[in-house]
Amino acid sequence: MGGDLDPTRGMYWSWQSGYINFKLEGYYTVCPSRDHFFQLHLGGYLAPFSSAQRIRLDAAEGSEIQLDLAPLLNGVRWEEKYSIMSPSAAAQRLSEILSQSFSAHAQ
Amino acid sequence: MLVYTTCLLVLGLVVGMGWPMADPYLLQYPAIWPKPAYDFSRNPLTKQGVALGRHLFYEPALSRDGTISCSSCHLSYTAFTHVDHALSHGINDRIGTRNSPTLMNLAWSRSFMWDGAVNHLDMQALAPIANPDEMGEDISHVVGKLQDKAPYPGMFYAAFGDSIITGEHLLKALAQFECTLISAHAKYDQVQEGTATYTAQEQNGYRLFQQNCASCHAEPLFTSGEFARNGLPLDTILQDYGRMRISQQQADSMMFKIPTLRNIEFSHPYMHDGRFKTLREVLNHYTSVGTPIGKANLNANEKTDLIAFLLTLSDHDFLFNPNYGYPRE
Ligand code: HEC
Ligand code: HEC
Repeated sequence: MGGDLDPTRGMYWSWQSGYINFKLEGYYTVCPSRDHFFQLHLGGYLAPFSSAQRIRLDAAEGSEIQLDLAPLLNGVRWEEKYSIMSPSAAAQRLSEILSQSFSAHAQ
Repeated sequence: MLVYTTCLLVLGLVVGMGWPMADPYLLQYPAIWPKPAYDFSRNPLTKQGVALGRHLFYEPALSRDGTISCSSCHLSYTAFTHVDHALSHGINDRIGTRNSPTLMNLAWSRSFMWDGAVNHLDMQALAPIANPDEMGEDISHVVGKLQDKAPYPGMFYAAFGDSIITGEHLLKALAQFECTLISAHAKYDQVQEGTATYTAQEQNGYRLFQQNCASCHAEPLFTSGEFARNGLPLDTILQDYGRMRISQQQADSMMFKIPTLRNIEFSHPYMHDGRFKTLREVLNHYTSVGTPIGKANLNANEKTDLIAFLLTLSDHDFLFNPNYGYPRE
């Protein structure tokens, strides 16, 4: 749990064990919340809501890894849930979308 | 009558390598106990690490307003519980939702909290530090406060070889101290060793215990470490469904971690929400409502005998161990 995994870095849930694997917070005009604020904290290691994803990318040395956020933002059901803070079916669905959104590009 | 011929050996635990300048701490426990669940190779116990963890356990700077330390709710003289409090209170007198458990033999636990929300001892302290009803603080803020506070930078250096304080080292030091909280010197243990004998009443209580309770509260730790439903009806105000909150599985509704019964004399009031004041009330629950396995069949005299046995689990060496109290220099 040292380095970037140190719990002081804000990527560990406190009330329940487990790292937050992916965190995105911000303002999005389609979000029906106050000030359009949304919080997506995706994590969870216990079945059935395990959000860990194995991603395999074939990349040449020195490649740049890109993450396309559009599929994730289009995948969120904004009218239902814009604040995800614990392991759930929604977190699992979004982490599956995310796992498809990485790509490697040679420089 | 069960006769134990095996002599109780005291085992020293072989520890892995930590910061090489720190002195290894030898953990001692009875030879007939199972191996600890805690992986000491990833956090080798050292005298300096344990000493630091003990300081941190008594450090109110871990709370937002500097008023509450771990020991506020876990008092060493009562086996580290918040005695007399059904629900524990933290900063600004805020009341939590659960009864604070005893802390002992934690190196043998595989899950923590009444619902097993925490899966590793190292990560447990994050929960009370962040909980607004307990310490209401942020771990990164705690690290900043300790960095500016003597004797911490020096103690962290002595324990881990780094005077820059990190969340990892803070949590590992607390876990090291907690691993040393071993209760293994109750009358029960002396009887197992052959250095004491039960009274007739305690002996009968032990028999009744083995018949009615040991399937869940298994010897020698007095918990099997599993989750179970012991038949308590839901408290409609607290709405605490136990393990279901974590697993989100209907099957886990009202499942709670089976607590140890060591030092049970001191952990009143009893159960996750402190609903029973006395051991007799606890036994009345097991004979009237019962568990899914069935109702315990105990008459009034047998209840008295069973309680006499439960009192043999009190360990005065543990309660008054000078290594556990407030660290005075
Ligand atoms: C405000 C009171 C309070 C404070 C302060 C507090 N605790 Fe606790 N502690 C509790 C309660 C209540 C529980 C049970 C929580 C649950 O089951 O959800 C608990 C549970 C635990 C457990 C789990 C025990 C087990 O067998 O499952 C450990 C370990 C522990 N606390 C250690 C600590 C440490 C270390 C600190 C200081 C960083 C601390 N506590 C501060 C009240 C407190
Ligand atoms: C089916 C498993 C099971 C059996 C059998 C069982 N218990 Fe328990 N016991 C539990 C669980 C689970 C809890 C915690 C329940 C809760 O707080 O919701 C518990 C809690 C307790 C507590 C409260 C501990 C504390 O620190 O607050 C006592 C005391 C206790 N049991 C004694 C007994 C005795 C004595 C017997 C035999 C007559 C017995 N139990 C039989 C599962 C069991």
